[in-house]
This record gives sequence, C-alpha cells and structure tokens, in this order.
Amino acid sequence: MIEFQHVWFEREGRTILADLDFEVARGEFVYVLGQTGSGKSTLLRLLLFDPRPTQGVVFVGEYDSAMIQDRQIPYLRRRIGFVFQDFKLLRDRTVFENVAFALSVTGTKGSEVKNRTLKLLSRVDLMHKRDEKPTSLSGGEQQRVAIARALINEPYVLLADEPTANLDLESTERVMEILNDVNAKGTSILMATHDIGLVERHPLRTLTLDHGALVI
Amino acid sequence: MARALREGAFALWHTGTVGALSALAVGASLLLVGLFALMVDAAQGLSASVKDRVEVDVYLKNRFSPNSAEQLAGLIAEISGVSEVTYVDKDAASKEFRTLFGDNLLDALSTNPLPASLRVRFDSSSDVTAAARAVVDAVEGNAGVESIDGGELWLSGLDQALDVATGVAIFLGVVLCVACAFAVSNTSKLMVLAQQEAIEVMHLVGATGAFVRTTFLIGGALQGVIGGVLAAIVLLMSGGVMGSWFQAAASFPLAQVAFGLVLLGLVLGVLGSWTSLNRVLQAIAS
Repeated sequence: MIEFQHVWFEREGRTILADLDFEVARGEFVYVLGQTGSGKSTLLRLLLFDPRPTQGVVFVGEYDSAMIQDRQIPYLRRRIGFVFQDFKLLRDRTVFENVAFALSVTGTKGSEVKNRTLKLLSRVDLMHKRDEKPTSLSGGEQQRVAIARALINEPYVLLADEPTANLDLESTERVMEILNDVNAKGTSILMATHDIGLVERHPLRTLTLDHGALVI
Repeated sequence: MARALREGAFALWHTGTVGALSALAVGASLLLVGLFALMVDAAQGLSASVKDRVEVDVYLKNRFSPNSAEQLAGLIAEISGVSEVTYVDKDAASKEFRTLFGDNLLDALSTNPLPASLRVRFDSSSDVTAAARAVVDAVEGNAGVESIDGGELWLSGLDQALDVATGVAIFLGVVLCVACAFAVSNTSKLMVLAQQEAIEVMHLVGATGAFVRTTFLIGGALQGVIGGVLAAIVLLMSGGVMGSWFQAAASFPLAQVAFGLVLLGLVLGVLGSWTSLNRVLQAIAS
C-alpha cells in the first residue's frame, strides 16, 4: 500500500529526511512519532508527492514518486485524505459546504455530493451543525469537520498531521474513536503526533523519527 | 463547468467592495469605448452623406459645341467612381440661377453670361475623393474647359480629419481596453489571494490545475461581463437622450454596440485574469 524505499529529502542543502525505508500495509494504523522539527510533516507531505523525494522512491497504491506525472497527482490525491493540526477549514463556508467542497471540485454530481456529505456529517455526529460556520464550532468539532472532508472522497489512506494537538482530552478521544472506526473499515492511517500519552492509551505500530532518521 | 462557475462567482463575490469598484471601473471604461465607437460610426455616416452630395462642375467655353461636350462627358463617365455626368446647357444654367437668386440680376444683362457645364456626380460607396481628383486631372488643360469647380480639396481635408478622428478614437479605445484588462487583472490577484486557503484545499483534495485556473478565469470573465452589461445598459438608456439632441443619433447601431461591449468585457475579463493568474498561483504553490 505505502512503501518508502531509501528515501532522502533535502531542502536548501539541509537533510530533512534520511534514508527512510519502511512499508505500511493496507488497513494498518501507524503513528509517526518525533519531536517538533523531526520531519514528521515532511514524511506525510511526501505521500502527496508534494514535494517529491530528493533520493529514493515513495510508493502509494499504484503510484510511485519516480514515475508519476504531474497531471496524475490530482487523481492520486483524491485517494488520500489529509487532516491538519490547524484544521484548514474555509471560514467563509458552512460546515456542509466545507465537506462538500472536497467532492465537488473533483466534478462529482451535485446529488451525490449532497448524499455523501450528509452521510459523513452524520458519521462524525455533526448533522445539527451543518449550516454553521467553522468559527462557531469548538476545536474538537472543527477537527471532526476536517476528518469528514478528508473522508468524503473515500480515500484508501488517511494522513493526519498532529490532529489532536490543539484538542482537550475529551475531544482527542472522540477524534481517536472516529479514526479507529475509519481504520476498521479498511482505510490505512498514518498519524503524526508527539503526544506520548495518546500513543500509550491507544497502542499501535509506531515509526519514530529523530532528526529525519527512523529510530529502530 | 457549473462548479467552476459557482466557485468563480463565489471568489468574485468575496472580493467585496474592491470587486464592485473594479467592475464599475470596467463598466465606465467600456462605456467610453462604446461612445467612441458610436462617434466613429456617426462621423463615417456623416462623411458618406456628404460624399453622396458631392459634385464637380466642369464649366465649358462658349465656343465648345454640345457634341464635343458629349464626347467629354463620355470620357468622364468612364472614370471609376463616377455615377452620373449631366450636360447643363446655358439655358438650363440660367433657369437654375433664376431659381436660386431671382430674375433681377440676369434681366439687367442683355445676354446670358452663364456657361454650359458638365455636372459630375459620384458613387458614395467608392473613393469619392480619388474619383473627383481623377475627373479634375482628366479635364484640366482641355481646350474647351473654362474652369472647374471641384470638391477634391475640401474632400481630402474631410478624409484627413476623419482619419485623425478615427485614429484618436481607436488609440483611446485601446488604452481604455488595456485599463479594463489591468483592473480585472488586479481584482483577479485579489480573488486568488483571498481564496488562498481554498486553493490549497482544492489542490490537496485533488482538484486539477485546470479546474483551479478555470475557476478564477471565470471570476475574471464574470467581472468583465458585469462591467460590459453596466456599460451596455447606460449606453442603451442614453440612446434616447442622444436621439433628442441630434438627429443622426437616431440611426446609431446601439444594440450592436451594446452587445459588442458585453463581448468585449468578457474577452478583457478573461485576458486580464489570465495575465495575473499564472504568476499568483505559482507564488501560492511555492
């Protein structure tokens, strides 16, 4: 499903990731652990092929970073969901519009966009907030909207970059509950975090980064 | 396409007052372009109407026989652009004079002093100035010709004035069109910058570059069309007022010019946003 083959990434002469070599199987839930600046976010961005590795190859499904053409990248991204620490919700649109947006810009029919959006809002328990703007929601609710948006294209991989960093314990547990539910339905998840407590409460496979290198 | 249209309208709407002012500026500029077009059309209509009435009178010497005059008339009639050559004999000239100035002047004279002449008229769809000059060149120096009353000099002046007026109108029109494209280009930049987060999300969720670009091109096109429609409405409304000021305005092709302004707005809107989009989108991507 996901494979890093001796991947290096450098920026402005500085090594950000060094010789990463690992696989993540279909349906696996993996933590990417490490301190701030250890390269966790860059690792996740490499899975979107934005940017591409300086050396080595990243495989995601049937695509690989060495062979994929720029015009194919949007089609890969439709199969990858991405959740950010700061949610990246559009403040001038409602909850419904934020979730529907991700599907509508890919050219899906209006009726299907509506059905799938409502279904996902129900799944993250936010149907009652569908007409509200993100600014009126709590952090936990905003992250659930972001998760719904990430799932709307039915991705086979969900990438989550510190999704619980700004949340209280209760909201964190609600988000983890949703992510576990998503994972149980077959979606692979790579979640970057530096919250050791969360990892201890929900023990799973971990990839630990230290200064861009995997710690074995 | 419908999605891109909706997103484009959304992006334009979110530029708020700046977008509205920019559309107004585009409308005002396009209105001026429309007025210039009407002025050029009116000037050309006036010129055609003047040229339609142009005639060259070739006055003949008294000893020139009617047969020789007919031969000369045949020669003139062959010149390109000449539509009619009429022989006006001395009696007919006298009648015309009496009609215009009364009987008193000629009655005071014992003989008719007015010469016979050839009256040359022209086809207004041809180059009347050149045809008049050709007629003058053909008869000048002819032994039977007393004098020529030609209109080629002032016609040439009219042509030059028209050329200058048309040139100035076209130049100002082009300047205004560039100003329109510039206004749309700046608003497009604002649209893109205001929607920076949305663009980032579009890229992340797999929108193609073409979709993103089309969205903002449509935003620019909408702005141009809104400006064009505003200009067209004002132009159509002012058509009645202009008609009451001067008669020629009644025949202005207002509907065609109004439609042309909307089309021009669309084209300038697309061009304006196209020029700024690539740079701004690349800057955001990096």
